[in-house]
Amino acid sequence: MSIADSAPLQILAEGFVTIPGGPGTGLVFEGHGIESVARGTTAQGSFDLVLDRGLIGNAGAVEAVPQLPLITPPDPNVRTIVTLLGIAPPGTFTIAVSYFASFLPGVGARIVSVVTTDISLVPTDPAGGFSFIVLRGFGGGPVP
Amino acid sequence: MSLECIAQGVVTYSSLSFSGEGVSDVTRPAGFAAGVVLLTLDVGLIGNAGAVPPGILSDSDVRSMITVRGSGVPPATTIATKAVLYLTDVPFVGATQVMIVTVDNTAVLADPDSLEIAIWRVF
Repeated sequence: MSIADSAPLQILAEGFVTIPGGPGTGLVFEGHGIESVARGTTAQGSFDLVLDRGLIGNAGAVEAVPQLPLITPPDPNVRTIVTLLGIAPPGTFTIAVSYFASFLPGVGARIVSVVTTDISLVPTDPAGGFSFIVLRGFGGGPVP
Repeated sequence: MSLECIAQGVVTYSSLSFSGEGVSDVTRPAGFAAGVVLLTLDVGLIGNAGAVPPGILSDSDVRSMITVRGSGVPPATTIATKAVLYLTDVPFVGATQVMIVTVDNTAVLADPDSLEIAIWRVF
């Protein structure tokens, strides 16, 4: 974050997830701010990035979605960039992010979920993996 | 080289609203039922004084990132393509609006549930 930023962002975590054994096999993470990477609810295409303990994101900075009874969070203040790593032409993918709540009250999301699908919307691993940056936004609020 | 973030936030399509910093309004342009929204940059923001050039970028000193938020199990999206365009409506003033276009996996204009956007000015 720079003090000159008119819409400040702070990096919480960054790195890349690769799949050296090919789609559907073990995941490897390299970077900062993430303590583990696991498969989500599907054999391919869903990745749960667990934020480091003590990270700002574990103290409510990364709010969970959904946050009942609210349909949308009052201050959706985290932004994540995901870019596929191309070891070969990757084909057409969809990419989505979500933030999973901690079971501890008063603690924000601990898991950043990344889901990738192929053009048929089937959860699919990108062969080269992906890089990501998780950013915390400051200031602002609902408009208007 | 340095980057300054001039706007960042989340666009929620069900209510067509924005939450974040640096954007004063979000609307859907006439003629588009889905897949196109227009963000108006804050008055007085650096981007309104020529920092964000309009149209096809011959002086590409602005960078935007867009990420769709997922829904369902697993939380995925149908959106396969995202694009941005920087629009102007005042001569000699930089772009005051940012158009976001989203297309689904069947190549049809479509709305996501919500998306994250950050816009940086390059120096």
